Amino acid sequence: MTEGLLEIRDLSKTYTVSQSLITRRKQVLRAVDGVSFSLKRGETLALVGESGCGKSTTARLAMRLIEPSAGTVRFDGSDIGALRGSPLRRFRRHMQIIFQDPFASLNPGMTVWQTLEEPLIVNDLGNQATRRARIHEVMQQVGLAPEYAGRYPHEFSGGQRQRIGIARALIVRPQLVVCDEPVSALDVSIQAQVINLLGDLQAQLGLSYLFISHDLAVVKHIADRVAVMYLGKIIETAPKRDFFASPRHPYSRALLSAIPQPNPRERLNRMALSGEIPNPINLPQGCRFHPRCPFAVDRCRKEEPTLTDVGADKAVACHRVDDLPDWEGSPDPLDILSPAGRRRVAAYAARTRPQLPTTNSSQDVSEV
Amino acid sequence: MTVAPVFMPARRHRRLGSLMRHLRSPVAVTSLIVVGLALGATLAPGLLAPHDPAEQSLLARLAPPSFLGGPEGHFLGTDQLGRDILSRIIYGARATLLISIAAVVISCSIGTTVGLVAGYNGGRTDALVLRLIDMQLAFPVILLVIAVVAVVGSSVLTLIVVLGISGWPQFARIVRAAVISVREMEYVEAARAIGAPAMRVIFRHIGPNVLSATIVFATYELSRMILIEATLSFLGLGIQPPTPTWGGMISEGQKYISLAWAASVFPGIAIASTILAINMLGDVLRDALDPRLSGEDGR
Amino acid sequence: MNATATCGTSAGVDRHEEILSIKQLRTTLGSRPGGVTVVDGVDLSVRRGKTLGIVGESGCGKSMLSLSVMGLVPPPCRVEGRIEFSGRNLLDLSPAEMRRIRGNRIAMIFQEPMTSLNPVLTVGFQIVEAMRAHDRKSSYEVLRRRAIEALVQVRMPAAERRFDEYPHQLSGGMRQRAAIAMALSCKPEVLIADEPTTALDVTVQAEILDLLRDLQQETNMAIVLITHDLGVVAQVADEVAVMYAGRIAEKATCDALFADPQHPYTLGLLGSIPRMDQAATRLLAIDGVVPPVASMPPGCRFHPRCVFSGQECTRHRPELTAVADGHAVACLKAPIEEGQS
Repeated sequence: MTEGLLEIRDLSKTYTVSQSLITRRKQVLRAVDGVSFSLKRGETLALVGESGCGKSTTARLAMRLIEPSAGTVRFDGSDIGALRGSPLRRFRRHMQIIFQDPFASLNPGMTVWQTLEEPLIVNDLGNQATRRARIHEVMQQVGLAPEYAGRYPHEFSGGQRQRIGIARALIVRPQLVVCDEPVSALDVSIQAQVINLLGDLQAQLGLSYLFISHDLAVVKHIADRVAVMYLGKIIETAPKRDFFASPRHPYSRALLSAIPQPNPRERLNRMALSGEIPNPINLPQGCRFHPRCPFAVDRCRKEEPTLTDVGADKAVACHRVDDLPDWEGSPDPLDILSPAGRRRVAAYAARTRPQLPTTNSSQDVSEV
Repeated sequence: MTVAPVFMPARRHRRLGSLMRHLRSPVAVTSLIVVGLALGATLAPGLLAPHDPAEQSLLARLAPPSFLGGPEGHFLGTDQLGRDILSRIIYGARATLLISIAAVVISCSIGTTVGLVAGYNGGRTDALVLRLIDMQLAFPVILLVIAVVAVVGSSVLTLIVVLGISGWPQFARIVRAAVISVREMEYVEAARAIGAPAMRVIFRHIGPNVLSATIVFATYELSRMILIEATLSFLGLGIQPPTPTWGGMISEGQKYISLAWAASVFPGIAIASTILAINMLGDVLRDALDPRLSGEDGR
Repeated sequence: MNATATCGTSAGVDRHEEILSIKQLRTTLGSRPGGVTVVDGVDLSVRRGKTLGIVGESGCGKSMLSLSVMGLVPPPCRVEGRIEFSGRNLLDLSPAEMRRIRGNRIAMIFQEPMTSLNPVLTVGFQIVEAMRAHDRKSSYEVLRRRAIEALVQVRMPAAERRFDEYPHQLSGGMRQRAAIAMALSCKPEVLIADEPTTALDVTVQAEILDLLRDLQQETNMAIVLITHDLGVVAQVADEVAVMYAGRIAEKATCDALFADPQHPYTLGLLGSIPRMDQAATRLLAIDGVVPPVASMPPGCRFHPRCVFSGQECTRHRPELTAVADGHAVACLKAPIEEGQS
């Protein structure tokens, strides 16, 4: 098998949380616990899970923004765990990140121009003239009018700020972009704009995405492969179609059935989970999911399952993977459209411009 | 495709423009005038003062201000040795402001550096610095100064050094807190992700967002230093007579306050108005330095 | 009969009578004439035991609408129109009368339960306080027992123990349960839920939505659910109002809205939902952003972003017009047909 662009092996990150001042008894929090995956060039791998599952930490470990406690990260064939100092800084341009919060991710004291110029200066790319051309080009790629370059972040709306963040990531021509919940903080209609933009940019520039999200609906649209994390471990990985057609792990199924379907006729068929995510400091013995799992048996309470290949590029960490009932997927929400409704949506689709336009009309600038 | 028109040139002026707009308010203008006068007195007292501050006139001792029926030529009256109070206030600004400004510069430089390093690195460095800050804050400044003055004697240099060193913990604490709140922001992470070296991250991304807090605090600290210096002079531990200082003048004048209030009240007004003006300027600076508060297109 | 039992859910009364009805509500912020109108002529009603979903993006006025109903709009502001609650116009009530209704007969829960819970008081104490505000006679022991019952009712795990815990000791889902218990402690007839699940994980969100639905079955209260998520609305609402820029764009029963959407904005929102079979293609996004409240476009407020808009849309304000029984749309181009010019 050819090596992927990003190869993660047994990556772990533990934090020491000292619980007691007097006894000095140390407790260990396993934020990421032996995670392995590989990401092919041009592919989008979605890392999915609920808050606290370690998906963001995994991404930052892969980027070496946080030092791993154990494990290796290979990018484009070379071990980046060995990099230190300026070689590490030179490597960084190949792997960029887009953040969730469009308000915290831009320096409030820097104009768009300064924000976009900085990566070029830091990496010593180009001269004044070529930098200007590059900034101009990237701003247009992400759908921002270059006239806005002199403005400060607070003069933009959330969606536009997210475009600035995307531009900052793309300006150094990275191969891999980590998208850390890039649309979670945006309104639905703006979400769709940004998702479309990310898709267009991937097609144009041949980017690979490591897409971190809790929103399976977004993942369904944008990912090629899905990896589900629970309490620091990957519990299932599969190509997107297989995953959504027949999720194998009980937790994946619970996640999928918990998405509120935009379909009033699809109520009340969810797989209820009991309890909430346990404290990552006191992990349960055996399978981490067993206290909430409706299929748990004795073995699950004693023995921790490993991520096992189940063929066709799929892997699951569950003792009972072969005993689970068949999965009934939910129908597409638009199936409930009446014929007239369907025609209307089609008419709407036909009129929506195929390419994302540059948002340069003045009404786009928010007042706040 | 048209080439972008605005780009770089406008960007520096935005902040300057915002500062200028804020400085146009009546409060800011008044404060600027007061601070300007104080600074002028510090730099060139001879140009402003009508008399030599040391010139005694025993015939016109403890005279009331001229606008209240006192002798001509002594606008704010005279003290117990017949020296012109206005001239002494003007000359007194020199010692007071020189010591305060120098002390703030010293404590600000030490404090900001220590705070930046402690806040950015965290861990052991941070814990150590915090202990140091606590230790120094637990020790009363006045006692420290009295002890040092008692040992080495009082001089401008001693006062500057002692006050300067006594003030750094507050700066360090404020800067450290600001750095910690900024350090976890995603834009700092983004700067690290594009490969920016630590120094650049500190000075380009963390520094400016911490700067406004520092500058504002420095103005408050300046007024505190003026007050401490006045207190020391009042207690007789500051600059020794005959060099005029505001605190010293109040101290001398208060003995005769029932006969001639002018000798102690006017230096007091000088201290109060200077401190008020500096604090007001601090507020104006704070508003002007925050791009989110600086008018124009974003409210 | 107990004096507090004014609910009127006794036999013989329509189980689904109209309990809250909003007529031509206009909320204007700012004291100057012509201040910013954030809610502009909204008509809505909700019936006992039913859920009204209000959908819209941030800045559409949905939260100001709920605050107007609660009488909690920050001054200076003007709230005009009528808010009829069990036969009385809430806008005519004195602050004292409004206080007796708020929290007692109309309760509210928020997106971040931390904002409605005081971090330095125990969960139980706060529920008891909420009860005591409207019931001064019962002893602490009685109230404590009722508060624990309320926690059990919202399926709080280990309710007895949680009573003495502080909000930060609870998980996000449990905090929202506690907030719901507090809101329901006085058996309100209307519950206004403003994005109650937005801050929660999907599995927890599903549980809270189930909980709300079950509680409605038990108490026959009316729920006004405010959300940006069409999925959430589809799961729990009986009727839906789509809001855009302070006005209602479309109002229908939940089934009708999802089966037969009419307003271009609704079409766009439905098209924006990522779907599987569409993976290779693009989402149907809505261009542009919600206009700022201070500079609303004339005519139909959606026209700058609308793919169907024509000349008349820039000049005339569309009124909410019935296109079918219980289904109304505010669009000059409605009903939209294929090949329309």
